[in-house]
Amino acid sequence: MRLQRLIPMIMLASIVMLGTACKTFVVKDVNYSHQLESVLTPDANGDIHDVRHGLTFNIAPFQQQEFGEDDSTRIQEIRLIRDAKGYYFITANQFKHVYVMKPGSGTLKMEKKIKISEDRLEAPALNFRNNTVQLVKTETNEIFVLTEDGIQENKTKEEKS
Amino acid sequence: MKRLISSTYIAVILLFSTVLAVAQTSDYQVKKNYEESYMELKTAIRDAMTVNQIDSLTKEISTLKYRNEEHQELLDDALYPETLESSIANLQQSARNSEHKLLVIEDQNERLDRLSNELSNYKSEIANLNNRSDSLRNAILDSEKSESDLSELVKRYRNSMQKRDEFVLNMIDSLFITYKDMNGETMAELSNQNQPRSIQIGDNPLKVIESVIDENLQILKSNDETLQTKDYLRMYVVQNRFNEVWDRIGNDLATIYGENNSQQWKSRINNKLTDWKASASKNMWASMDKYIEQNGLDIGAFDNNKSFYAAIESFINNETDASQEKMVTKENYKDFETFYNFWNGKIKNDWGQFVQEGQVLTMSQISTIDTEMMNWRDEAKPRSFVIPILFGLSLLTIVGLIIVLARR
Repeated sequence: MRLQRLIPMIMLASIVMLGTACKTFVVKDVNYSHQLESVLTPDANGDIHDVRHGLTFNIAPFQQQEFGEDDSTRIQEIRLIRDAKGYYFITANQFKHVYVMKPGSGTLKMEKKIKISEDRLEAPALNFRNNTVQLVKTETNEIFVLTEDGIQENKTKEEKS
Repeated sequence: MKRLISSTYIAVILLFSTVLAVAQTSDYQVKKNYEESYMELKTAIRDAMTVNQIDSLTKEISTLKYRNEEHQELLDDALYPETLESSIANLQQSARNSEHKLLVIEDQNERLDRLSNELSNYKSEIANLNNRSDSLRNAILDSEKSESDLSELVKRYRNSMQKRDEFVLNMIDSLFITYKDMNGETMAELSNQNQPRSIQIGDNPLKVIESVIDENLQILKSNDETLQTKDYLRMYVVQNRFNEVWDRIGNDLATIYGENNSQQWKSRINNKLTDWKASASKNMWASMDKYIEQNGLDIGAFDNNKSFYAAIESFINNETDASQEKMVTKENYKDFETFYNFWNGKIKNDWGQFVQEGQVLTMSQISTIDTEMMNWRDEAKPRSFVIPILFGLSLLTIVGLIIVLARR
């Protein structure tokens, strides 16, 4: 009789212990940053392969986002860099924006589309300085400090996606 | 005023530096520029043709390092698994390797230049000596002079031939010294780099070698009566040395100087050397045989080193046996003395240098013959009977004295 009363308690205790053991294992303070941007040339299908960082994707969505469906402008080179949190910052010549992309399971999801200027960028470059991503407009020597939320110093230029 | 100028100057420099500092650069561009400069330097080092070029490239490597030191952290990351330091070290090592190779090539070029001059000198000197020998020979043939004058002419002719052979030996030694260490990669490189220079007809060692062989063949085939065994021994030695050197460097010489006909050159010279060897050998052994015969010795037939040694050994053994049989005769001892004079006076002394250099007899063969000669001498030496007679007389005297004393 007494044993019958104890069985539910034992089962409950077992479930609690099992749950504790299966709790997600997390490593904190991971730094995903790339010290140097990757400058990649798309192949005939629009695929780029970042051999050094083991990343492959198609640039067609960026083409569409930046130039629209009908524009025939082709992306010659795409530039990307990753910040410490793991966001990808992607831009190219003739872009007006820097795309902040969050990696998912087999995906890159746009977190922010940061407008840099009204004119198309002629020679953008992405640097990783002081633990932040910077966009350098080399033609004008302007520097924009970027985060996943947008331009750090001049938030008016941001455009919420 | 001076101070003002100086201050202005510093200000301008500072301003310029500030402008440079303000100019924003792409890290990717920094890496790309570095990689481009690196590759340019690497190619320039690979293609450098002189040590001076390498020296100037070494300075450029230092400048590249200095220019990029401020980007060291960035480049260490960008060049992974290399670093700025290791990639610069690689360049410096390449420059050192290239410099070493160029130094070897330059040294070999200098040696070839020297050899080229030497060959020209040898060639003209040998031609002079050939002319002199020819005119002396003609003078001997046409001579109506007295015996003493003729003898003087022959002496001068033989001296001239000896000098000529010495020049040929010096020339072949120079060739050997120059080419003996040139092989493999360096040789191929040298052959490619110096093709236009080295194949000058006048300096081509293959042609010089060929002409020397031809001249020697001509002399040997002329069956010159004025030449003596020593002259033929010397010619035999020269031929041996020529063969030896050709075996060591002939391949390389034909590769460098034979252009597209290296195989033809090789086989042509090989054939001529075989011909020369046969003539030199035939003349030398014939002359040796004649000399021995003229000196009243009959050691049997021989026409090479092996049969010569066998003939001598057999002759000594036979003579030793004969001496044992004829104990009380001076005839065998006379034979011994004649052979002893030939052996010690000619083979070991007058011709000794050539006998050894030409391996006419080896040192061990000479030593064996020496031992056998001593046996022969012991057997051939006429016995004296004076001592036994004196001993007998002494013995008789002692016995007589004892008998006389005993009777008393």
